[in-house]
Amino acid sequence: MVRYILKRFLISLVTLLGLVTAVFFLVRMMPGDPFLSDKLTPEIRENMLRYWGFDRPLHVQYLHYLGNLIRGDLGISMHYNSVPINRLIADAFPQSADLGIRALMLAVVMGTTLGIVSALNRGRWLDYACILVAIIGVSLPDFIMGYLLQFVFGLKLKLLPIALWKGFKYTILPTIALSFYTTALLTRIMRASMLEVVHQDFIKVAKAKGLSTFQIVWRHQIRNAILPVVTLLGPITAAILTGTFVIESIYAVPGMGKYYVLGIQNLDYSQILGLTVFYGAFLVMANFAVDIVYGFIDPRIRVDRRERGA
Amino acid sequence: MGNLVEIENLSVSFSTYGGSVHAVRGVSLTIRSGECLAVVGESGCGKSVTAQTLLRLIPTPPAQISGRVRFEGADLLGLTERQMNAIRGDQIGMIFQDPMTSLNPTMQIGRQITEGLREHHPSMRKAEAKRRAIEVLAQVGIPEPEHQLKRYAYEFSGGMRQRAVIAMAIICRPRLLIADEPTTALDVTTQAQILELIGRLKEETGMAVMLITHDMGVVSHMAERIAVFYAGQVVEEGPAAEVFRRPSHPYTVALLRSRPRLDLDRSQSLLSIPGTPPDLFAPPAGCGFAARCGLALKVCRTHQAPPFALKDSHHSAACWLHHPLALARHGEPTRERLEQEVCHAR
Ligand SMILES: Nc1ncnc2c1ncn2[C@@H]1O[C@H](COP(=O)(O)OP(=O)(O)O)[C@@H](O)[C@H]1O
Ligand code: SF4
Ligand SMILES: [Mg+2]
Repeated sequence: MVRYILKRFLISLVTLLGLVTAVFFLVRMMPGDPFLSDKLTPEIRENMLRYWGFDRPLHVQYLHYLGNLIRGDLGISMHYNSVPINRLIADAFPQSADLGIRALMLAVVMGTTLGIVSALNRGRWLDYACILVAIIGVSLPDFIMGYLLQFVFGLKLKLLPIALWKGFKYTILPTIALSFYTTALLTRIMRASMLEVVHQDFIKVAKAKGLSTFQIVWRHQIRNAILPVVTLLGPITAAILTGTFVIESIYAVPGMGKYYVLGIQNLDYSQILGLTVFYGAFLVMANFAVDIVYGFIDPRIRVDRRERGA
Repeated sequence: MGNLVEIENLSVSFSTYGGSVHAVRGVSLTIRSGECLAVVGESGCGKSVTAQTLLRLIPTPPAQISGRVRFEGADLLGLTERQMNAIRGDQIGMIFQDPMTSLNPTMQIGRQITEGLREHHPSMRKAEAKRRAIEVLAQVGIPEPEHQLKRYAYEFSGGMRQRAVIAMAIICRPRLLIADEPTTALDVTTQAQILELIGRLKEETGMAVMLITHDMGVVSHMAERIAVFYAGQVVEEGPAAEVFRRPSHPYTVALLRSRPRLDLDRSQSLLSIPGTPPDLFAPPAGCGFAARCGLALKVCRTHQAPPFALKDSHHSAACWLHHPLALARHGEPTRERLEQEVCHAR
């Protein structure tokens, strides 16, 4: 297990380095530069470029950036009066993370539960109800879901606030909107997986031991059926995190989405780079955590020496 | 000794989109306490369905079950699910064909072995259950049993897995062990070891064994009695020695001759039965074997033969050739005659 964790960790580091490198050079390949404006004379432009160090050779800039990164410094925003990116993130990320984590937890809990309920009631109305929810969820884009919830629960029923981020009531609609697609996806996957596992011999063996249906479902069926869901946690986290941008703008949540969009509009190299690296690191870490969890649930994954027969 | 299991006129059919599959058609069988009954027959003839009906593992619907299954006098088909659960694993243990898929890949072997025991003995301490698990693991020949409890199925070889599965099935000391083709998925050496193990456990514990196989060779050493299945029916039944010495149903003869024999030379030794078993969606009215039987009489195509008791005791064959009139006209259907008429060299 220790070997497995170490290996996963190294892979995570390499992935992160690849990401930083790719984004660093891609950002600079975008047409234009941060100081492209009619208001600036060529002279001022020169000065600005020199000030920010863009006149130096690319590889020097790159190594410099890596050096700062290792010290945990993501650079300085060019447009927000030289505010450090670390500060921007510190201000905005808590809201994004709050929304993202709420949505992720809701999706995982609801998705697996609905999938289990659906599979255990296969062919009955409860199953069809879950399938219907899943189909709606998978086919409606996030932003339509966002507007729809605003319209129904905010404007028509006047049950919940339609925007801003000022307490639990404000979090309900954006969380549902953000998690709906993932909930639907997980419902489908969990249902299919439950129905596959139930035909496996070890379920029949469990029944032949005299275990009750509840024990068979709980100890043998769900535990094996949940593996595909665990594998998907990484990509799902990514999908929800990127989905926050859209939902944040619909519900006026003061999160990272705003800075990302502005950063790209202004070609703010350090802002795009900083936010991307931050998100990348976050996702890589999430994937790392998922790998570890998976290793605990499914013993076959722990590739160690004994198994290879060495 | 008394009868442990009495199956009377058991029929099982499955409703499918293509119609009803009549998998088991009027099977009657008994298993006595402590004896080994071998159930033989080619793949698809209803062996597994019969065995699983004994533990009520076949869900109804889609299956329909009729007839009677008694275990120590109790009518199993009439029990509630809860009463049935008290018998499953405790009174009757079962092992399945494929040890690779019989174990839960995400649960430690030890826990899988003790969970049945703790289910049937809720007051048993964990340590006591563990001690008992180590005991059965040793009994089924797994080395260093105390170190295996925390391991997982993928860390075991096929033979070891089947041993673990057997340990799971016998930990409550059942009165009957159902072994459904326990060696089919294993290599030849391991096959012999597992069979030997089952035979030894039967002697040690006095439990009865229902040994299901499609290979006559497998049963010759172990079984006290043999029931030959064909197309969902028992076509011949009797003491193993009798069935081997004097096979009396043409299908049994064919089955015996379709495996290699050392006492005949090669050109003669491998024979096959032409044709295929009947379609169980629409089973024939008469003898299921009629289409493949060189001795078929007119009555064979219209009427199912009842089991005729043969001269030696407790041996019967469901074949019209043993009807008194047929015996009077054609004489005894000897093995040589049956072989000549039914089997053809490959
Ligand atoms: N769940 C099921 N649904 C439909 N048909 C089935 C089912 N289980 C078994 N059968 C059919 O019943 C027949 C007997 O099967 P089985 O008892 O498994 O044969 P075997 O003697 O090889 O163990 C086969 O024709 C099989 O296709
Ligand atoms: S002789 Fe008739 S009853 Fe006997 S096996 Fe042949 S067809 Fe069936
Ligand atoms: Mg079978």
